[in-house]
Amino acid sequence: MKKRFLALLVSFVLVVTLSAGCGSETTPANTSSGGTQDGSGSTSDDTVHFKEYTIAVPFPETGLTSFEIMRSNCDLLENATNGKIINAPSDLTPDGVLSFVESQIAAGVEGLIICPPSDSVLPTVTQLCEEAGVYWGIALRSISDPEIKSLVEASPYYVGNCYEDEEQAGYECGKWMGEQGYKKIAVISQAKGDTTCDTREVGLARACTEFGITIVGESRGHVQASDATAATESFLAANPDLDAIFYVGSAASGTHEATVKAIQDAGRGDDVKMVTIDFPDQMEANFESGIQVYAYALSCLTFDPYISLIKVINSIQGTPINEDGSPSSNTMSMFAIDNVKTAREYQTITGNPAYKFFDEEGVKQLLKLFNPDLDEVTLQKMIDEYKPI
Amino acid sequence: MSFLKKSNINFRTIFPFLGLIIIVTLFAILTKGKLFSLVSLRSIMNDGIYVLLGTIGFTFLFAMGCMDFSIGYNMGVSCAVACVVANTFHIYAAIPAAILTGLCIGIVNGIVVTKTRIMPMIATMGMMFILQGGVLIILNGSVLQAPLSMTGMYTNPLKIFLIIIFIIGGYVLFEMTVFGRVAKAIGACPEAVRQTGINADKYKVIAYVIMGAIAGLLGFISLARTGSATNSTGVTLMFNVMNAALLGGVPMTGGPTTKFRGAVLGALTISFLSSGMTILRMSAQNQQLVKGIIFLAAIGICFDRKNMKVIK
Amino acid sequence: MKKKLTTVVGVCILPFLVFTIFYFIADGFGVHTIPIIISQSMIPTALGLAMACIMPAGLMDFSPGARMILGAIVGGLMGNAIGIVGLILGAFLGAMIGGVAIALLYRYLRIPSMVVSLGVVLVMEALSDRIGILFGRGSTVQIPANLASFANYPKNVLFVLTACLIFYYVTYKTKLGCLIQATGNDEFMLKSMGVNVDNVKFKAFMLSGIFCFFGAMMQICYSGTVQALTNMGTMTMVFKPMMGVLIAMQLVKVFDNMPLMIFIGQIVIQTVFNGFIAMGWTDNIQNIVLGVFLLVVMGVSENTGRMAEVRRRRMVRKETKVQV
Repeated sequence: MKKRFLALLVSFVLVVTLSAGCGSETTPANTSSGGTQDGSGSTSDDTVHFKEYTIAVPFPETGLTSFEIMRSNCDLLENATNGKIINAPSDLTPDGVLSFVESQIAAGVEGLIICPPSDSVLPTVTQLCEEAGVYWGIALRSISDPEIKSLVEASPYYVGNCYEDEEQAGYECGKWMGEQGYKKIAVISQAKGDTTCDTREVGLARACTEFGITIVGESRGHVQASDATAATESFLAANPDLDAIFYVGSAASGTHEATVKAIQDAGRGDDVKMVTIDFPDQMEANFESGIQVYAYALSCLTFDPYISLIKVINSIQGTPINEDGSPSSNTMSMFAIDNVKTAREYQTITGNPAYKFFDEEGVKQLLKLFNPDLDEVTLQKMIDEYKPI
Repeated sequence: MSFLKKSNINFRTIFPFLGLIIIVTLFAILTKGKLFSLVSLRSIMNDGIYVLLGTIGFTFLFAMGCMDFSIGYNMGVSCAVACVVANTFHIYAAIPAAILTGLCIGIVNGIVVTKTRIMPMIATMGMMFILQGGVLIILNGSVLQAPLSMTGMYTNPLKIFLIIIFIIGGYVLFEMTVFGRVAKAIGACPEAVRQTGINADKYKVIAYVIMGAIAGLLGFISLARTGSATNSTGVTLMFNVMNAALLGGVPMTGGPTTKFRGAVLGALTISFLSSGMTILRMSAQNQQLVKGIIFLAAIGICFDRKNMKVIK
Repeated sequence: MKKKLTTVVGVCILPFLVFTIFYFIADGFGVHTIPIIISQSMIPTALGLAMACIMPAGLMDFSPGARMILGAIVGGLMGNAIGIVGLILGAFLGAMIGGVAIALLYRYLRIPSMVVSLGVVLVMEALSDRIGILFGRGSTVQIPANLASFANYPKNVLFVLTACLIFYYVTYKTKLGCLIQATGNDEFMLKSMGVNVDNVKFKAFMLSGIFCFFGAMMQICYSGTVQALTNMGTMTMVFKPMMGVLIAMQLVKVFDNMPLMIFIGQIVIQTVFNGFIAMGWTDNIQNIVLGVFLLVVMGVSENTGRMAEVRRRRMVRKETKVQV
């Protein structure tokens, strides 16, 4: 009786789910619609029509100000291009990236941005996106394996990447510290396996060898500001002659400020300094305290994935950055801040969640439907000339 | 309800089935059929294989009232060792390397639990910390890439084959062999098992070995899928597997009410639930909230309280 | 009596012993490290007290971390709005909501405590994140320095001292404490004696909420910032306090003062970690040593009876040989 009941139930469910499948919406291949989705702050001409699209990005909406800036810029892009950009945070692990790609393809996206922790996942991502007809791009990374690079770049659905020279960033900070005469530093970084931080540490190691700097301690994978406080206190206690604490990278909020506070509370503000890659949210206050003395970063961390997003949008609209559809690779230059005045100026960006990389007119210049002259070279020129202040 | 009583249907027994059917139906309707698209099913299979195989291994441990906190890092260490072997020798050598590594870790877990009499939860927690450090040492603190041809090993027929073999093999081993019966008996009353002359420690070690070998295999699967080994491989496996086992109605205290089908049902439920919520574009926080509520509600409904004198 | 005194003194000087070892082997490790070690032990001690309310009853709870974060977030938000009163009230409310939730769920769902705690972790983490986003700036809450100074070092020591005194009083001087211990020993017998065991366990969970409040206050004041964690990130926060409690549950057999033993356990763990940092050891070595330490401590304490039996048999064999 039990088996009959279950069999009946399963049959009913099969019928229902099959009916649900038959009733699924199908989006026509070339839907065109003029104007914006909600009509507010419309930026599109009457003659320019954008295909509807959905793109998934693997960053959270909140937390660090950089993510909030990304979100507010995505909102502007959505309005301008009749699309949807959704935040689907994923683990930045190889399994996490593949799960992200597969699940978002299953959800029906037209485009994706990924930050692969290693090149080995890229052939699988290429295959998945080709099968599904989904355009995809890489942010914050470049492809180092030549075999994988040629395989990926041969795909018509790969739009390209944006990256920075992370190793150079680590080297520049190490070089600056060496030139200041720092001999002993402690390092705060992400857990091993985070490609960005690992690459930065390679550059740092090079500078340490060149300038005779010793790394006396390291602390990794902070999830709370209190972890940073505890690590800083321990470094200060264990090393009376510590010169600086160097932040290679941190995904937790408030960690830089916690370190500054811990140094101040220990009364070591005159001896121990803080150097960071990436601009902290409270950079102005950190520099004013006299403890943060150097920062090296992009003006905003999420400017890189924003440009990758632009490439994907252009490809979805049938107007890829390069006319022949080949992927474009763009690099972004980081720069240094070493004084309060500049820190104060950049605080207007790093501390403002509503900051826009480009206004509505500027966004139009990044879309080939408005600006047919856009290509890899002109895009690189725009990136190089981009001055937030 | 009276209909259920009349037909001798135990609601608690069929609830995991019902739960799976409700979730699948609901999300199939809400996603307008996208849940059953080929891409979605493939995604469910790729993510779900870890949970399914892990839950099958966990069932043997749960049946005995044991636990293993170290399976995630076991998977990580096995993946790292397999990657090293694949790079040094041959990619096919990675398969036995991964399984053997997991097996050895399982043996250590089993010996520590049975010989030192430390609570399984605590013993395996200690092993978890040791393996967490160990994986960093093997990988030299970085990401290790396997030969490119490795990813070609992870084909759909292989996945389906593994799933079928493990479900059939696990069912036979658990429900039809002496080993399965003894495992349930140990969970029900270890003292009675001891007095009947059965070496309960031996069976516990075997269960940990099975779990370890499965974790090793999962390490190889991760390597074949992603082509690399990192220190974060398998970090979330333990909690996902435990949630799946509990959701499927596998009791933590073990005993005769432990059913193999609970592992399969729980793994399928978690996989379809996660996939359905992702397709519906629910935020990660909302997904977690829904999972937590469903988890509590489902276990609250199907937990067998009658056979437990004391609920700890 | 003399032997008892020796073992008690031995337990109490354990932290000094570990400190002395690292004093000699690690450069940069000295008397100046002591305030750091004490300060860093406070939050794990509070979490340990929260877990120690429940573990003696034979229950398992992974949710103190999630409840502490919820308390810290609510406290921070109310502190920014109202001031110090808001901080205290909010932290208390947030932590107690967690305690009440888990107590009610455990009582009325009638499922194992570990399962309830896993579900509560999932729900509380999502709630903390949602509350932070709705009322604060993203999932992070920051409080000004004047509020943070309320419970930073050395005031956090007073906080923990208060928590320890409350714990000691409830555990050793009240009926509830006695019943919690008895529940852990033989719940079935206690039920048969007519004690409402469900009520006892309910109160144990509520009590743990109070210590989560202390933890929440110290968590947000320690650095002035707290971030909501998801994906069961708070469970990793309870592993080290849990180790401290497990060690304390063994030490308590020697000297029956649970809050002191928890504090000693946490001090020893923090001393070891700070010693490793002073020696420049990386995370992987620290984790391995932590795991081995846990296995050794638990292995020795679980097998003291067997080891004593082995020693006794050896002595008997020796005596028999001598006689022959």
